[in-house]
Amino acid sequence: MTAFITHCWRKRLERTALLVLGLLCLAAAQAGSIEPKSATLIPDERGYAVNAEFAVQIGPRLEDAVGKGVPLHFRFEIQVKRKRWYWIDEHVAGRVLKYRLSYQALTRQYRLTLDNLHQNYDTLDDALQALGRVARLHVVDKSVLPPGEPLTVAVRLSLDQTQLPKPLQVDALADRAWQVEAGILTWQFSPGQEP
Amino acid sequence: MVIALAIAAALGGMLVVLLTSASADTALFVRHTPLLIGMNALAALVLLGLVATQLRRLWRDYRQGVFGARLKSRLLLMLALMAVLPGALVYAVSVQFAVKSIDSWFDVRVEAALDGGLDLGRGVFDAMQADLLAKGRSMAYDLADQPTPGAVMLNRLREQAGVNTAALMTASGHLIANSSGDLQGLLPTLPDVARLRQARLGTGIARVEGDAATGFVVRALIPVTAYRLDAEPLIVQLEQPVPAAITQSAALVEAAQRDYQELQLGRAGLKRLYTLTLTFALLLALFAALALAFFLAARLAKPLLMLADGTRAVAAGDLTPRAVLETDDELGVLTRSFNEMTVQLEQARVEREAAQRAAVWGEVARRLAHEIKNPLTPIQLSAERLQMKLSGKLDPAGAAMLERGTRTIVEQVAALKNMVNDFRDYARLPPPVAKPLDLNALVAEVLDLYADGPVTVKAELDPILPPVPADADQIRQVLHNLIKNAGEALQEKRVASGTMAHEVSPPERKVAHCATFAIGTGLGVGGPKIGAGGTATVTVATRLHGRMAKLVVTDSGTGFPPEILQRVFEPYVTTKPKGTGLGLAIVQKIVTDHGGTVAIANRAPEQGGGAVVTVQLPLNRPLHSNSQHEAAAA
Repeated sequence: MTAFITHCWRKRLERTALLVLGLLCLAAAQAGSIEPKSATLIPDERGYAVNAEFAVQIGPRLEDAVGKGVPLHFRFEIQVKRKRWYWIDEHVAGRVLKYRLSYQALTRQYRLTLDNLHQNYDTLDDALQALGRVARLHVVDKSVLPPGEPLTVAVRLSLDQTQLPKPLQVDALADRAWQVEAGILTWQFSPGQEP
Repeated sequence: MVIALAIAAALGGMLVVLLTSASADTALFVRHTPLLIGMNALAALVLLGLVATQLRRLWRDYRQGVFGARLKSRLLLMLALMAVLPGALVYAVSVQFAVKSIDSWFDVRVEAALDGGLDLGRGVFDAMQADLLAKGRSMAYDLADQPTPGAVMLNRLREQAGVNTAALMTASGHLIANSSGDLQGLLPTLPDVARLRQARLGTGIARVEGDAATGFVVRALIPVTAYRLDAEPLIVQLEQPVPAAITQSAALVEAAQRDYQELQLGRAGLKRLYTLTLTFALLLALFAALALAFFLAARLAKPLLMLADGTRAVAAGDLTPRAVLETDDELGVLTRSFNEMTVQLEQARVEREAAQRAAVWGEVARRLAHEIKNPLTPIQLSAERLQMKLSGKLDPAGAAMLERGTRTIVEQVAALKNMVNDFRDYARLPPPVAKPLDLNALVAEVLDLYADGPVTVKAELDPILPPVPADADQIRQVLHNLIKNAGEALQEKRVASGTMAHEVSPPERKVAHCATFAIGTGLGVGGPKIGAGGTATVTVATRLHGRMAKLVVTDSGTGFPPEILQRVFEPYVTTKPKGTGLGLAIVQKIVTDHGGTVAIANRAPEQGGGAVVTVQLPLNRPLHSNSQHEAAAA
């Protein structure tokens, strides 16, 4: 009898756990994510530039929102730091790019704006792909970097939630579907030792 | 605690105002809305904590039956209800109103109209694209006929078709010819490779480019299919700007539709934001109101508790004055009246006790006088008879002894009689028969008697003193007693200082007592004036003090020992070895019978020391009629 009850309980417990797990997966699936795929610093004429690529998925809720005309703002950030054992890391260089992704319902085109430049795309995927690609962006002048010293470089592409319309911000507080997880890619870099 | 609550409430209020401005879409706060919400929640929690602490304290007091906790709880409950009920009502209405208002923005017909408008715009664009494609195909057909199509041909065809710009290029994007309706004749924007390939593989593509700000342009790419197989495939590009009027209208529709969609998307969030703001406002207001209710309940309950406390004390017999609430409202008046009442009660009790004591002592004195006085006359007569009968039959020494003994008996009997008369006077003191009395004249008259006495008695009379309703004989007695006491005090001081200076022999002491007696009876006895050389004087002053006449007798004598000062008006309390202790008792009895008061105090040494007796007689006391006395006596 006791064994039976225990069995019953265990079964119910398992089922509940499964359900919770499923819901969690669903929530995670609904939420978007921006994962860095690759990033490197390459020498350019003045110093170093960054090439980076991100896999951008903003999730169904935000896709819907963009399709309805809500502009989304993204920030690409790169930071170059020097490690200090006695204090917090020293900021050597960094750049921020601010993107704006919007939809023109009239021409059914997605538009990616960076400062004053803009580019139209027929599909959201194209626009997101373009958003996730940073090529030859100058980051730091050579004169700033003492050669040979190891540096830490970090890149991230993230959704700027503070630029969302206010009601959506309130929604985003509680609802993960409005959020986009942004991964940070960090690597060590020693100037002058590049090929 | 109250201050903490006030600060928290003020802070909360500020936060709510900020949140409200944020809800109202002030650009400054939009970005900090989540932060503001968090801070508001924190403020609400802090206030809740403070209020809960207060509530728990009150509840503990209530459970332990602390005096006043019940009253405070009830007041708090009432005040809280007064705040909560309207607050909840306003909250419910506001939330309902806000939510309904937000819902009312959204209308299926509006949405359909906006969508329709957008579709219409797209339809126009589609039609223009189709039109341009058709024209392009026609041009491509004509161009394909030509072995070497050039700029002249292109220009002619463009003008025939009525197209703004036309360009002919190779499939790889190399420009061959260009024709423009614009006078500037700028080079056309060349398409990218992907689009060129797309155009070459199909029958042509068209799309609208640009935006509402810079103007829309319809651009079409059509392949020119040559008849000769070896000819290089060409592509013609046509550009036609969308008319400004259409652009504007389409842009307006698009913007409106976008805004509407955005609102639609944020509908739930907007409702949540409004509800949240209102909820915070309600919570903060409620907690602030509760805090205020605590404060007010304590304030309101304070005077009532003071009164209740006072009542309990009075019931327990404690008539000392209580703290008075210094406000000018009814509660202040109430507490003050209560205090006055206790003071009057205390006075009444003191008077009653004094009267009781006086009555008891009076009875004792009367009996004592009666019992003692009866045998005195036979004693005196017997002594005199003994002397008369035996003086002739004794030898001279025996006769002298008899003479001394008899004289002593007679003297002592006389003294005893005097004392007994004092007792009788005290016991039989009749109720005063008050008539308008010129107090100044009476003082002058009495002082006349002391003019030749051993003590200097000065008078300081207030000329504006009105007549006092009093019994002249009794007041005269009061004056005599007081002046006599003062004189004796001066004499004591002199004797004391005399003791310091040289040995005092018993006869001298006796002389001093004789002098006292002389003062007491008001009979001037020759001799050195006491205190003639210094400040040793007795002062009798009259003064008008409000509705009272004051009679102040001051001496610069030894004053009263503290333990005597408390009970100085009780009969038989005396500092003098031979006093009956009835002098001041009689004074008090007379003054009390006149409805006045008598107080006695020692003067500070720097004021010259000694004692001061203050008699106050009311000026507005109704004159007594004899019938009243009879009634009182009965």
